Amino acid sequence: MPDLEVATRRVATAVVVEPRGFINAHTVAEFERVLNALVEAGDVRIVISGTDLSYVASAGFGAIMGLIEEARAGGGDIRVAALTGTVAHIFRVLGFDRLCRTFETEEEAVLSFGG
Amino acid sequence: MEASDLTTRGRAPLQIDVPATCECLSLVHEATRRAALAEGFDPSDAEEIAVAVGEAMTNVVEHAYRGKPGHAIRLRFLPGPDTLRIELEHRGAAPESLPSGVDLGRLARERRRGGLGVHLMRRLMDRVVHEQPVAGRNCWVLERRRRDSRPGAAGDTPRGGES
Repeated sequence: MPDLEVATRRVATAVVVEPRGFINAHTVAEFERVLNALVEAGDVRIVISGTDLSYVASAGFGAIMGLIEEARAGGGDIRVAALTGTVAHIFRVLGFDRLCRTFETEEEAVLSFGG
Repeated sequence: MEASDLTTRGRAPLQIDVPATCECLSLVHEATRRAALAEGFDPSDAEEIAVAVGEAMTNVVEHAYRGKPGHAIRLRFLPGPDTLRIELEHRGAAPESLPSGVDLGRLARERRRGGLGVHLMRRLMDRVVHEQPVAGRNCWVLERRRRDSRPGAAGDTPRGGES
């Protein structure tokens, strides 16, 4: 199994990004590739689901940080859902809860974008 | 490899030489996590220590060696009664200065993707410094106190080790 797989699926008006594995400076390229492709295609209502993430290093949070204003400028946002354990803790200690809206569940995050 | 294989208490410190490449990050993460578990840290603390060590290693690969291949990093795990000290020794460039904090809003507005690693190390560990033990060698030193030896132990205590 690869260190990181990133799947996407459309749910209502959002695109849910599901990284599976871990994101560090080595694997982040695939995560960035998927996010970049979405933003460039105008799919800027993005929900990142943390359900299957074992850990995320600063490179992964940096990928979100580098694109979130681009998504907002296009009328969307990057929101995160279902963070658990160390991933949730690192998200908080980095202060990302002040930069990025978070939700307990993927459904809540999708609904936050409206119909 | 079992966690107990990596315990260093009562033995010579565990030392590992690894190529300074991002491909080795997951190996170092797992070795660090298991070493911390073997030293009695709980799984969530062990995972945080492993992430912090990965950040230090990434810093060495990307900044000290500027991504150039053919270099190495020596990791040492040095358990004490109250702390686990981890050193990452390298022969690359020392950081000119360490950031004192980050402004996420500004970094996001500037579309920056980096600049978080040292901040994260400090948030996860009790002490983070960069030393030059001898000329030509540089070393990241990361320390994490054992949960029962921290002031106000237990709970989600914020850290923020000095540099």
